[in-house]
Order: sequence, then C-alpha cells, then structure tokens
Amino acid sequence: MWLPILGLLIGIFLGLITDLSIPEQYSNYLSIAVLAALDTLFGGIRAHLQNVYDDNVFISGFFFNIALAASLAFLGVHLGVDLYLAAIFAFGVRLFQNIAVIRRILLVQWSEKKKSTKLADK
Amino acid sequence: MNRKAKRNFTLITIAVGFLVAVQFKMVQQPVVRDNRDIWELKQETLAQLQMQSSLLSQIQNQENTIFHYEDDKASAAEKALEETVYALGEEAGMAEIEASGLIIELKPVEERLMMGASPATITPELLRRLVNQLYQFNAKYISINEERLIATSVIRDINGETTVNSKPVPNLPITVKVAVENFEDAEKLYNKMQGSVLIEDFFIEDIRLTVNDPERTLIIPAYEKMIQVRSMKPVSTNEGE
Repeated sequence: MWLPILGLLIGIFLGLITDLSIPEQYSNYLSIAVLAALDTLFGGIRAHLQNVYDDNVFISGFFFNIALAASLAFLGVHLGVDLYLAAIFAFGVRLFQNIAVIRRILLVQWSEKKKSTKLADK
Repeated sequence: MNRKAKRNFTLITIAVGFLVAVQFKMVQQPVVRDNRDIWELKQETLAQLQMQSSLLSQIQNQENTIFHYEDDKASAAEKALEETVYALGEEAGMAEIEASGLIIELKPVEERLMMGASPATITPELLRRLVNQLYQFNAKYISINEERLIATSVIRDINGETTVNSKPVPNLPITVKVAVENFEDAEKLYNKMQGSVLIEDFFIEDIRLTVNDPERTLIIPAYEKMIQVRSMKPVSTNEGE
C-alpha cells in the first residue's frame, strides 16, 4: 500500500524540481491527461478492491485514455468545438463513480471487521 | 496485491504525480510583470491616443458620407457620389490642390560655379531623400517643377537623366512645392526643414536648398497622365454573379 503513495510523492517531487513548462496552448491537453490518469488510477483501485484487477487492462487503460482524451481535445481545437469538455465530463463522472464504489467497499470491509471483532470479544 | 500489480500502481502514481505537479506549477506561474517605466507608458498612451483620434476622424468622415447619402436620397445621392469621386480623385492626385504650404528652391551653389565647377544636376537619390523627408514631415501633396507626385510616381535615372513620372527634370534651379493640411502645419514643416540635415547633404552635392516662408495658398497642379490601374477591377454590377 505504501509503495504507490511513495511513487506519487516521487512523481510530485520530480514534477516540481524539473523546470518543465508547457506552452499556454497545450495546457488543455495536460489538464485532460491529468484527469485521464486520475481516472485510470481510481479505476484500478476499484478493480483491485472488487477482485477484478487485470494488469493489462490497467496499463493499457492508462495510456489509451490519455491518448484518446488528447486526440479528442486536438480534434475539438481544429473543429472549433470544445470537445475537451466532453472528455472532462466523462472522466469527471467516472471519477466520482469510482470513488463512490471504493468508499462503499471500504465501508463494508470496515463494518465487517468491526462485527467480527465484536463476535470475537463475545 | 501481487508484486506486478504493485509495480504497475507505483509507476502509474509516479506518472500521475508528475503530471499533477507540472500542471500545478503551470497554474501557479506568476503573471509577467509590466516593468515599463513612466516614459514608455506615456509614449504608449500617446500612440494609442493618436490612433484613437485618427480612428475618430475616420469615423466622422464615414458618418458624414452616410449622412450625405441618407439626406434626401433621391436628389442628394448623386451629389454625394460626385463628392466622393471628387474626394477620391483629389486623394489620387487627379485634381489641382489649393492649400497652405511652402516652396523649396534648389539652386546651384554660385561660389562653386565661379570656381569653375560644372553646373550641378540633381541625382534621383537626393531627390528621393528630399521627398521622403517631406512625407515624413507630414507633407500631403508634392510637386517637383510642376510635376505632381502621386502614389505611383517614380523618381529614377533614365539614360543618365533624372526623371519624375518619366519626365526629365531640367537643370537647376528647380522648385518643389509642398502642400500640407493647414497653415500651422506649413509653419511646422518650415521649422523642421530649417533644422534638417538635408540642407547640408544638398550642399555637399553643390546644391543650395532654400526653404521659402510658408504660404497660405499654394497651388499644386494635378497629375497630367492617365493613372494606370493594373491590379484593381471595377465591381461587376450584374446580378446573379
């Protein structure tokens, strides 16, 4: 459990110390990439908790989602339609759903644990 | 969680962390500071004000034209059209201009002539410099020896002779008439010309440049030849095209 959190911290650290700056016109792409990455991450956590986790699905989902979102934004820029909003909306909704499922599973696990400790006490 | 899944999760979280940090840094970037000093700002303001006033005067002109068009459409439309055509012709150089301005005389330097120098002729470069300088000093209409300069006028060397509008410029002395917007501008032009380095540049070429006092009315002749329009076509009036 601690390894992914350490990874997150390392990533943030790397991002802050490298002087990487994205041109203004590509900021949309980056924000969408961030959303896609977060979506994949929470999807992976949910799948793991539901015991349906698959490595290939997780990794391919990460890259595929980012590429799809970026290409959607690119298409939107060239068509003059804010298509990146569609990506943001889709990812946002999925993010909330995933987090809700994770919360429920954790709640169920927690309450079961409590019950079992009570039974053990008796 | 098995080892492989753990590794994948770690890799993805590193990527997420990196992306979030870059995005965060980009959002946090400070706005570029405006570090112009007060003079630069004043100049900027001045330039903007000048642009504003020129735009306003343009708007006023257009509104006047619209007003003319709308004022009793049946009878006045024709007159307004005529006025527009006349104004355009005036701008293009097809009409004689009566305006305030000044006369510049170009004469050979007599002392040099006495010393046996051959009478000076003016080179196209020098004449072009004079004209450019005059336009820089807000000259509106210029004629060189009664030859009106228009937008397509060329000053050049043809077979060793300096020509304006393909007509040879005679030997010195010649006169250059310059018309400006109003008498005040003519006075300004006079003062600017008095202080211009052009006088010395002409002197080096053995030509004495004399700027006469500004005059309230000066007549600049019209351009005599036909104005050839090569890259414009009249708008087709046929409907359905």
